[in-house]
Amino acid sequence: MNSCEEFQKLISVCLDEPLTTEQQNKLDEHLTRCVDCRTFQESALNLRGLIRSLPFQSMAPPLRRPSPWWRRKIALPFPAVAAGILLLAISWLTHLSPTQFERVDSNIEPFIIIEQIDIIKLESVSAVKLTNEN
Amino acid sequence: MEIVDLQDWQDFCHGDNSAMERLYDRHSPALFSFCLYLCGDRTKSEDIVQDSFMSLIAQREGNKISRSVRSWLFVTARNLVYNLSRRVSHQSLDSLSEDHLATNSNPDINLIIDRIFSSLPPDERELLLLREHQGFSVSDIAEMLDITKENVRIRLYRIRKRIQEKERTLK
Repeated sequence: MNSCEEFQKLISVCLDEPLTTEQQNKLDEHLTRCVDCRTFQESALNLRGLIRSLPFQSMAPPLRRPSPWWRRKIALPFPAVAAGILLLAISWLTHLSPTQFERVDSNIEPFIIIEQIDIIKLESVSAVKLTNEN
Repeated sequence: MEIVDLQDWQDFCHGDNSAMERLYDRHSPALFSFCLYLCGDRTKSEDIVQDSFMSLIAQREGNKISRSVRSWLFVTARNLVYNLSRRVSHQSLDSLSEDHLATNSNPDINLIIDRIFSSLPPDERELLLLREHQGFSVSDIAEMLDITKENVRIRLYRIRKRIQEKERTLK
């Protein structure tokens, strides 16, 4: 081992793996009298320092998958909700069928209902007659 | 680290999904940095890290990891970087984006490192990163890149020599 190239290869190896005692002694001895090889060693160590100074970069936080629509919280203003409930209640009351009426007013005696229906029928029949006469 | 990794990997193979979370937390920053410094594209690097871990999860069936988990992840990520740059618009890895190292606190160091990385072909940049940034040993690198240890030593010497000569010309 005589040339500077061989010693510089050894310097490079020395940065990555331990040398044998004999190799290390030869290298140390050569470095005391060779400026070029010392410069190479310095440069390689600087390069190592530079690359090791690079920080570990952090990734962007993972995007959260949007929750399905049935799990989303819906923020509605209270007046709108109240108005909606009121409208639903009104429409429900105005569209009650007779059977539903019976079910709701179960305390009313059946014959009273029949009487009421009969009155309504009589009134409608008389109204039809009147229109026919006119 | 390898023993902890191996334990987590075994736990994951036996159904403990939290072991994969531990592996991800332990290795994703280094893996992401490696990809970013190699290809210079943040979004691409994030995708590659995710894909690497997805590939690792796919190895669960039959417990098919032949080397250390860390080496396996780096080899997978490295292959994905090369495949992606070949596939997507034939983009070359020779050119790095200008701001990929902008997070280093010292702008002068950023400039020097940018200059160093830009002067190296991708395979040499990769070797330098694996050795000097990630701290893989010569034997690890030889196994990962499927080359001999002597080849790794020679290539590292050439990189160091080339950078020294570049420094000399800049002075």
